[in-house]
Amino acid sequence: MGIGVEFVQHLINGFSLGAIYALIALGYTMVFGILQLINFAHGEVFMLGAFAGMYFSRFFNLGAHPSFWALIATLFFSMATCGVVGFIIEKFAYRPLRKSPRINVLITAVGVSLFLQFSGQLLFGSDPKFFPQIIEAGHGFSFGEIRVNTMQVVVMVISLVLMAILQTIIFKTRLGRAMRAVSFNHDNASLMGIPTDKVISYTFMLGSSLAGAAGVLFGLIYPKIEPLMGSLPGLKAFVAAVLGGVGNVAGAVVGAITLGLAEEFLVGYVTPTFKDALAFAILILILLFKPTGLFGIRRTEKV
Amino acid sequence: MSQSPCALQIEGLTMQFGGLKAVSEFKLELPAGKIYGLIGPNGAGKTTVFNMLTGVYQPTLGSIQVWGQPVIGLKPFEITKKGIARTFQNIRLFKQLSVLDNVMISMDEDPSRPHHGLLPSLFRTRQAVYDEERAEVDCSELLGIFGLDHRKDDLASSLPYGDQRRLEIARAMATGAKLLLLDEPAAGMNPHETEKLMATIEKIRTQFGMTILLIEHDMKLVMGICERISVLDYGVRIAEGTPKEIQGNPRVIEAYLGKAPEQSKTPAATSINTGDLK
Amino acid sequence: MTTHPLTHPQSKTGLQSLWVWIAAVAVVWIFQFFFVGYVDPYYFSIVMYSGINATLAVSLNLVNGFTGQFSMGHAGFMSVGGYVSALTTSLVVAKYPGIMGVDAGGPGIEGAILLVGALFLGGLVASLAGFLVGLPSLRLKGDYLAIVTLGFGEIIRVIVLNLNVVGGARGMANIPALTNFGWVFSVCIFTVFTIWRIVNSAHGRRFLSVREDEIAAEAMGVNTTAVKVRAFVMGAFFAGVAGGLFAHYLRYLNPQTFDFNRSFEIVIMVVLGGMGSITGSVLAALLLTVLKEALRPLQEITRLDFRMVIYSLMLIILMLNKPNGLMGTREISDVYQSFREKLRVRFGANQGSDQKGAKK
Repeated sequence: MGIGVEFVQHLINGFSLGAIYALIALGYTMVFGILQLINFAHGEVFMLGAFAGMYFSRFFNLGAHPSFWALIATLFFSMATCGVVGFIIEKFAYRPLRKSPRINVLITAVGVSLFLQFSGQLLFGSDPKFFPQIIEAGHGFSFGEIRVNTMQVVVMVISLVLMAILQTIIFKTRLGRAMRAVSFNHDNASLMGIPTDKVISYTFMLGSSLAGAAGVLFGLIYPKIEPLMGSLPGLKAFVAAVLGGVGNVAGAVVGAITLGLAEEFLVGYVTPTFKDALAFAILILILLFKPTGLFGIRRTEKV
Repeated sequence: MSQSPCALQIEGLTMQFGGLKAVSEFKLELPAGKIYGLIGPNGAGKTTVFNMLTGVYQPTLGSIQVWGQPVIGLKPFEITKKGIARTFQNIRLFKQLSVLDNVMISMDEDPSRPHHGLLPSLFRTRQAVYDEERAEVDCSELLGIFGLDHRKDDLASSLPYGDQRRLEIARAMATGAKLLLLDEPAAGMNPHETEKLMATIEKIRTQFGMTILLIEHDMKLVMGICERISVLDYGVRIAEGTPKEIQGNPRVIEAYLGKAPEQSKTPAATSINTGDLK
Repeated sequence: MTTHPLTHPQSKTGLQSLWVWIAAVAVVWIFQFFFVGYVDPYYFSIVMYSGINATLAVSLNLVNGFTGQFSMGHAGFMSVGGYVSALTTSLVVAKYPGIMGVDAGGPGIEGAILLVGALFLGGLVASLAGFLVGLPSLRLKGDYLAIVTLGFGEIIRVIVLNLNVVGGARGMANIPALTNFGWVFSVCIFTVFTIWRIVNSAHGRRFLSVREDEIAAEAMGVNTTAVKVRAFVMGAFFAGVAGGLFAHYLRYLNPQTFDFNRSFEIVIMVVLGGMGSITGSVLAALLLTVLKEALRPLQEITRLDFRMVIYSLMLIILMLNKPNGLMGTREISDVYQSFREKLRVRFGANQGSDQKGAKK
């Protein structure tokens, strides 16, 4: 009996962790889809999202009056901040390199990532900060012996809503259609009169704001935040994106949930020691045996 | 097997990408020392044939023999060592390296030349240095044939377009292969350059005993130097023969110009044909 | 026996002659025996780290610059080499404490042999790791390879973290002090020599051809698979040896010593120097090692770590404005030659008559 309960408990934990990875992974996948660029700085945007949320909620002392609306306001602020950050990164670091060799863009991306990490240390200090409880923890829900805490429910619900909104934007709006066109063929899209630079900017803003939301949600579950917190979840979310097939939006979500579950089960049933290495092991295996990921499309070089 | 040495023997070569048959049942016999052409409209599968011959693609079906040896399943670099080398339609030189280095890289891989391990290269033994200098001299000589020796220290990317195409041929020859596959060697050249190229191709055949299979859209070149021509359309070989036979072949004309309406067919088609094919 | 129609002197420039290299090593040891004692310990440590970093940067350049396989896990190989050699010497010294020459005032010839053996072993195990990391490079390019090598570095770190033999998270202390100036710079010179010679041979052209165009290289008969793995194996070997030197100099290792930032430091040295320039890598290694120390006072006053901020900003600005780094793909010999050329143009053209006059 206990075994089944434990299993479901891990399942729930894995799903909520996976939901956060998914929000970050979406940004990776969208940017990759449109620019074929791994935005290494994306994990740091996630970190900035957490800090933006923390400062906002501290400023308005939201920790003292936790409520649903406090959370929504914080999320909104964080997402807006990160959207702006994403815009700036793209405009000043990546756009000037659009015609440069891929390796230069890659190096720049790594540079931006480290720059944000360490200027974060300068700005926020390197010691961990406490993310306020902006929503009541409550008693959560119990189904028999299975307990789900409120935070986990909130995280999963909000992630789902954001993903639904993103899906709508991509498949039901003009912007989404332009994004899909640019990602399909950059030059042709531009010939068809699509303002590609603008579309790329929007894509970065959209992806970055999702990472911002993920930062806040992460702060809710793991309230200790620090400037280097972004790199590991960032890399893991990237692995999730690769697992699902980079460039594929639904794939990123599936990959992220898979990774969240895999980590949770590894920690729960085998050993917690290698938790952080698991993602890389998955990455290496996937790239070696199915480099297109679970749902990716193969792009071959023309000879 | 000894009656006539065959440079290239292709039987039933088929390439299927998903549901699309890019090339089906292609066959060709290329005797040593000949220049053959492979022509056809865009997308007919010509480059796909080259890619299968050089191991870039694994054919779905069929057999390929290079100098009497089967090459299917070998990696591209292994196939090259069997004595077949190619150029690329969209020039693929080692752009940021010197003209000389471009050719040296190929010559280093010539299986008939001496090779040195890491240690002799590290300590520059007398023999290693000698062989290196020797290769350099041979490369310069080879570049001379293509009129590129005076530019051997320049970056490959700094060469004019036509010279880049010629350098690709020189580089392919440096591998020591006696069978060359040239993918649109005259593309982007002006008539004068093309004429020069024809003379060069003729020269490397007679002087170095090269066997050549070339893809080309420039009909003047193809009809001028190819002894026999195969025509591909939608991956199927629709004709094979001497330039004269090909020029008069109605199926070829149809493939290139489309089926003309019944009444105007013969005169119109032939008049354009002579302009285009001759 | 065979007539050599082309007999050549073995060297075209001084750098290609073996004697220059041997002389350089001799100078290093003269320094070690007669002058090292007089150098201020603080400046001495900067010199030592410069040498180790130059070795790391040049070896990474073989992979990133010459072969075009962007690796970001070099600290991982350094870590493997460092731990393996430190473990070796620690075990041996524990059994034969006499090697450290406490009475004789320092490790003697046995210590030297032990160090060289341990470094070689460390390098060997690191190159085995390099082989394993090189395998994915057969199927991956650019960004993917970068992130996989980064991942490998992390995996190595996590493994070390959980290895009790080497102290796990506590780290490994009391590593015998066997590294000295002579060894650091002998290794550095040997690394530069090896990579320089190889890059300027048929082997090196193979590396370059893979960087330039893999498909064309393969079509010209280059076994690109073997070339890429070889680059990783060789790069990892030297990184492992450098790690060993580092371990026996600092005498303390922990998993954090070889984290991603360490890899990144080496990457920026290569990029700053110019991917494909050995000279550039050496210069950049010296420059950044000195810069790091120059920033230390600022860091102590403000209590903030500016170093990585400056490094990363430098990297971004470099990519935006001067993506080829300090040297591009040029070497010191090219600079020297073009300098001579310039002199000849300036003085040879204008004052050619003077020279002739002088000869008379």
